[in-house]
Amino acid sequence: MSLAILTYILGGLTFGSALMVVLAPHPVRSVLYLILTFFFISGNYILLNAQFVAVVNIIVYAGAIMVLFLFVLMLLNLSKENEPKTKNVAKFAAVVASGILAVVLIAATKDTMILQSGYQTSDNAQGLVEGLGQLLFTKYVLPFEISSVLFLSAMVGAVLLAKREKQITNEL
Amino acid sequence: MDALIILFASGILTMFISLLKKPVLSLITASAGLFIAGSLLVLNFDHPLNFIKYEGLIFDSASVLFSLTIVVFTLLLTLSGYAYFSKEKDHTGDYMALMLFSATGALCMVSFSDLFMFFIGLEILSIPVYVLAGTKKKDLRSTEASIKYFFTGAFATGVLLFGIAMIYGATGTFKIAEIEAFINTNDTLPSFLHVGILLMLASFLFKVGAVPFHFWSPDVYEGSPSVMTGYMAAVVKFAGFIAFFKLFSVAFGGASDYWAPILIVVAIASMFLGNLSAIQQTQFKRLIAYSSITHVGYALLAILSFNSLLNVQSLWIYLFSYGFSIVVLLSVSMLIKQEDDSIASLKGLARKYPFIGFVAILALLSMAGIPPLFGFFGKYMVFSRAFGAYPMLVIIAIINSGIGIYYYLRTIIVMLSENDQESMIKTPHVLHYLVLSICAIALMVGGFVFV
Repeated sequence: MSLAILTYILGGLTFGSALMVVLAPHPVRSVLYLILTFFFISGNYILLNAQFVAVVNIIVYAGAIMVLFLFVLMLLNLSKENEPKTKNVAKFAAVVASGILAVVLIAATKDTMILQSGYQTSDNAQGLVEGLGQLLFTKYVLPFEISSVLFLSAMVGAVLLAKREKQITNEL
Repeated sequence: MDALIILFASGILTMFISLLKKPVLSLITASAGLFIAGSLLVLNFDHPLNFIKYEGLIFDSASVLFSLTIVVFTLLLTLSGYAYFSKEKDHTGDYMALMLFSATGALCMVSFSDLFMFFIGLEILSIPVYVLAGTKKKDLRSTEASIKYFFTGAFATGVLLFGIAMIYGATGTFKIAEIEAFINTNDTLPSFLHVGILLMLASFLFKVGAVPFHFWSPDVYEGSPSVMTGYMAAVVKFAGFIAFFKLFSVAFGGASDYWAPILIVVAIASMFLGNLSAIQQTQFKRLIAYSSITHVGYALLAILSFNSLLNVQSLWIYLFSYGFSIVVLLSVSMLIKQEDDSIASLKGLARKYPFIGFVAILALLSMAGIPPLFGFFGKYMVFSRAFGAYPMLVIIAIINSGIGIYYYLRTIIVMLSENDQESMIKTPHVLHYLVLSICAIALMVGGFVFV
């Protein structure tokens, strides 16, 4: 029972802070609310017995990506005056499109059938690093290794694009 | 699998060899890697019965055939793009390595057996292409192309992931064979599955550049270096369509009542919009971009009308013939001196370099679907197969082929006409002649060998 109440409270907080991301007038505040949302989502993961995902979520999203966001926003010096004007037609189209998506998602959730009744909380080791590592290095070792190609090409690409060319520096 | 490893290893090797700043060595390493990978695939091809299965990958005879196609196109484009790549001696090897990595991803994308591997393959395929689209750093349009492709592509990937999550939630599995079984055995499908299928469909239509999601393609095709435009139109599109086929025609085939009507509308819109916009284009690469939107419309016919891996051959022949035409046309586009590649600058091509002009005309005629050439056979097989289920759609496609002939012929006339001004055509590299000869042979005899 207490778990159910906790779930509702946490869900409400997640929802509220996610709403604040969109509603906050200042972009920096909206990023801060986004970080808060990630923490709440991590709380939800812990309730679902996925400790590893919860920790990774905080380290990667709240830690790395959001801090990057904050840096970029502070460098950009955003204010109301130089905010790009959006056309009313575009606003209307965006509202209609996302409204339709929301209706479809709600309708789909309404008649969801549950494949497994309830998540297993008895097996505490399931969501830990140990179980994940076991799977990653036995069953899913090939996708795991192949994803290294992805990281390597992303790194090479980033360096290639960001590197200043010699000719350009000479001209400057 | 060994081809996949060879491709990746030669990519890394090329990257290190580029430290020597000798473009020729990079070229030799990259093309040797591609050649060895291709030969290994040909050797595997003789034993189609012992399928090699890994977690997430399955190398059956179809996958081997698709992988071979990807390796062939990548090799041809690496060779013909050498003249462009070697302009920057420091980075020649890096560019080629990224192309090899991207081809590795394409190989995963045509031989996946679960959604997990498919997603990794798609990302490995896309990320190097985003980078390579922006390699002309001094050209603003190239940067624009890279950014545009990256943002829209990343958004489409997000939608795709959302769809995959929905499908996993509905079926409880990532494996496409199990998803297929789930759809075929359950009478009432969960609505989450439908939402997932729709989201994946939207993202796929974006990746192949079909009509409501086509806005990126003319700008990206125009701004990218010609080699990468060729790579996008030949390899990325090929891998995208094969994955599209494997997922929709095969795995989601049982639920086709839900997605087929959407695809019919998209196919018709792609054909008309692509063709009617292509007529007005004055720039060569934009023309190719719009005509490729039309070709996406034709290829969607194959997705609609096929339902098992056994008849994927027609789709393969269609995309294979299209790829050769693309390689030829983009190799020709590399020869244009001017920064904006107007069709008018091709004037006098056939008179100055008769062989190149001849191959370019072959490629255009093959795209238009003129009989003895390879392109005709591809179109014929796709259309004849689709005619049983969708006769009206095939009639519309044939009308569109007719419209297409107009702008292909107009380009041919420009190439044949006499040039009274200074020629805009660069002297071709010897590798251009090699690539164009291979493509010419494929375009002329391909239809008789492969059909």
